[in-house]
Amino acid sequence: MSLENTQIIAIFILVLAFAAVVALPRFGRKRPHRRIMAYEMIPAMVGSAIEADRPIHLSLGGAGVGSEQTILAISSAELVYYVAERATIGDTSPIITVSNPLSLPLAQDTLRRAYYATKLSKRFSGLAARWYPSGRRSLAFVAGISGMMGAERPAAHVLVGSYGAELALILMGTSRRRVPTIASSDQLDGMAVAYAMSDAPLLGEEMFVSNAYLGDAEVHRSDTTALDLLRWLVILTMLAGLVISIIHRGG
Amino acid sequence: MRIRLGAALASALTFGIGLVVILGLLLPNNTPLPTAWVNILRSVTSVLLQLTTITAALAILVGIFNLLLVHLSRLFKREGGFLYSLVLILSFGAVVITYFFAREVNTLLLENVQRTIESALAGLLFFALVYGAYRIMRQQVTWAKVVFVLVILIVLVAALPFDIPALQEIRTWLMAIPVNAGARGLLLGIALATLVTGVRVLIGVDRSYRD
Repeated sequence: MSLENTQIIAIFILVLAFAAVVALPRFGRKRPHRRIMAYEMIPAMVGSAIEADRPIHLSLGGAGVGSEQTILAISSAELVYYVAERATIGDTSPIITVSNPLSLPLAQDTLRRAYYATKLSKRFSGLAARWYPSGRRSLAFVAGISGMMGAERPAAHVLVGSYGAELALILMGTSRRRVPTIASSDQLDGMAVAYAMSDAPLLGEEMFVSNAYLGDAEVHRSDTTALDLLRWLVILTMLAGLVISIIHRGG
Repeated sequence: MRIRLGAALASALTFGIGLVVILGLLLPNNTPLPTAWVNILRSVTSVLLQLTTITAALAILVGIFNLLLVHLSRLFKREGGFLYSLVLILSFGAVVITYFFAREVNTLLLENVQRTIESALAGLLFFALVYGAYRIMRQQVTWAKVVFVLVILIVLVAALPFDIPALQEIRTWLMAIPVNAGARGLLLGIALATLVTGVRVLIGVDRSYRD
């Protein structure tokens, strides 16, 4: 039997990830070990929004279920859930926006779960989760968000998921209105814009670990440890490759 | 620990379907398993992937209904910005009617209105990015931010049509080594996090199955 190299690597990494996620809850650290400003800002942001009786805007951007971005969409929805759960006790419902129609049911369910968790299910309205079409370059989505920002004056924005450089237009609007914003993206240009223009960016894998930072279940605290373990393995593999290539050249 | 039947069923379904799709996609052609089994597995995977495509098409309809309901509700309640909602609903109606009865007018609307407005917004994007670079220095100045702005300046100035070989060499080196390495590092981090989250979803640890 001869498997192709990429398949062997894929299966090996998958097995390793399974082992890390399943085994580490027993041995993982009790607390996440690195401070992430964006997660620390969330309680204060939600508190201000509730006091001001204004909505908090949460967005998944272009992240969509059913494509290679499925996990990103699920992960972003998880972060949105934690923020929405805190915000549901206010009189004004949080607003969740998506530009991928496949994420709309996910967004609605995330909000429903948030209200269900705080036993305020009667207040849930499916219209608080909204779809703004993305158009050719996501600019129609940006225009829709800008209109919503003017009409409903959200007290804070949490923009996670997938955005390109068009994120700059949204962040320019939030900056002009002096509204605190957390932003992140899986795209490099979106990430650069989030770093430069948001109050607290979530870079790289940081947006995938909301469970560990905002959740209360002990099992999620090991997620960061599993991630660190895999990262160190990649680093060691790279270093090993470098050493082997140096030795081969020397020989 | 109390286990809810619905949650357990959802987790089992996710795990089962996920496993079937992974196996269907990862199994090589020369696997030692019987060919009939492999063919069944691949057929099931294919059907499941086709279901995703059909769901995607239906989701657009759901999205359109959502968009119309949000704007109709704003219009009837006379909430802030209801005039924009009126414009959206009228535009929607006009596009649907012209699509069926005057296709060329529909294309004209798309070419001359939507694309023009999107191009105007794309033009604004440049100013937004410049504003971003300016804003970064107005916040707390850190070494990372100074380096970020310096690199932007070098890359932008070197892209101008002036013949400054030293600057262009620095730009080429910056793009090839540190920028490339940083980008790969970030993408690797995202890939690993995606993997860990994917496994969590597959084994049903994810919260969405518990509520």
